[in-house]
Amino acid sequence: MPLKITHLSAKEIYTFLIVCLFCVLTIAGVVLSSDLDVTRVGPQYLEGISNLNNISNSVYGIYGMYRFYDTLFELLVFSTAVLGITLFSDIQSAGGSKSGQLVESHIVDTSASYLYPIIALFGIYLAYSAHRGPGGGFAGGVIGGSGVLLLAIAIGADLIGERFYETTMKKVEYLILLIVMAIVIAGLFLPVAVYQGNGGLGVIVMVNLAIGTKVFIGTWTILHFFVKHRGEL
Amino acid sequence: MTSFGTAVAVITIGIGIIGLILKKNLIMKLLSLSIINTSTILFFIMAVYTPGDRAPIGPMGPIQMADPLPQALTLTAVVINFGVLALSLLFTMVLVKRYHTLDIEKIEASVKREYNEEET
Repeated sequence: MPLKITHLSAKEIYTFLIVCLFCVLTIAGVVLSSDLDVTRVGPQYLEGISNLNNISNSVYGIYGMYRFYDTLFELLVFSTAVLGITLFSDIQSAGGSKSGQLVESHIVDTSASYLYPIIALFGIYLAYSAHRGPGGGFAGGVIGGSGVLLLAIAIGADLIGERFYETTMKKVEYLILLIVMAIVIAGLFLPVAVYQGNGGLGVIVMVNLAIGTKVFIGTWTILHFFVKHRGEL
Repeated sequence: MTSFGTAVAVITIGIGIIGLILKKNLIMKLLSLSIINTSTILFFIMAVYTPGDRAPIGPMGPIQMADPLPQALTLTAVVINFGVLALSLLFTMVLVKRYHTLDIEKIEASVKREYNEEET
């Protein structure tokens, strides 16, 4: 009597094989790496960062200095996503563009306009103090951009887009990317010691604020697209 | 505790892979992709977790600090996930606008039919 595997489709067998391969690779990786001391991989970075006076956030020390190319290419990937959204933002919606308010309520309207400055201030603080405490340019930018979403819910997306000069901001975004890349290229010729002096602190804060602004604009571009085309899937 | 967290992460990645291949709905596929990404982050964090670690902020000392390198890598992963998810949702929207369905097999059949019509 033959084995009854005919009721399984080819795709299910393929899935089963992929998951088996994944499990084998994972187990092999765990077994092979059990002899090595892989539990601590960062100390060699920590020794270098502890010599710097300006930076007390070790995570920032790693992604802002030793692995800055990571951050740069992360910015490039984010820019590519935003560029894709911008290119397709003109697609016609089936039921017409919904640009009005999501919630028509005086309470939401008033509280959003009082809350937004606090949210924006918090975002700027996170971007500004990334070298000192928890935070970073990305976190600050995303918080600022999501705060604008709150305003869009209360007042209307297109009105907020006009009020924030959206078309100008989209051009500024790529300018900021160029500025960050210029700082990185300049950093190739500057010694790491520049971060230790008082001038280094200015460079750190400037880069963080630039990244924060760029991520703020990108987040708002993405969120505006999805607010405009809501209810279409 | 570390091995427990790692095991949970590995199992969730497996669930994500199964969903990514077997689900026919495009949105479900994207959700599975997101699950894989989140479990990878969990794997990063749990692989180096030791109880009693402090946050890696402040002056170095005898205090045992959490390993900052996986946290720095996680930061990259989160942002890339955001970008990839936004872009793939956009392409899903474009596909739905053209074929009026989320079912990947129906979309595939429509594309094949269009291709055959062009050939003949």
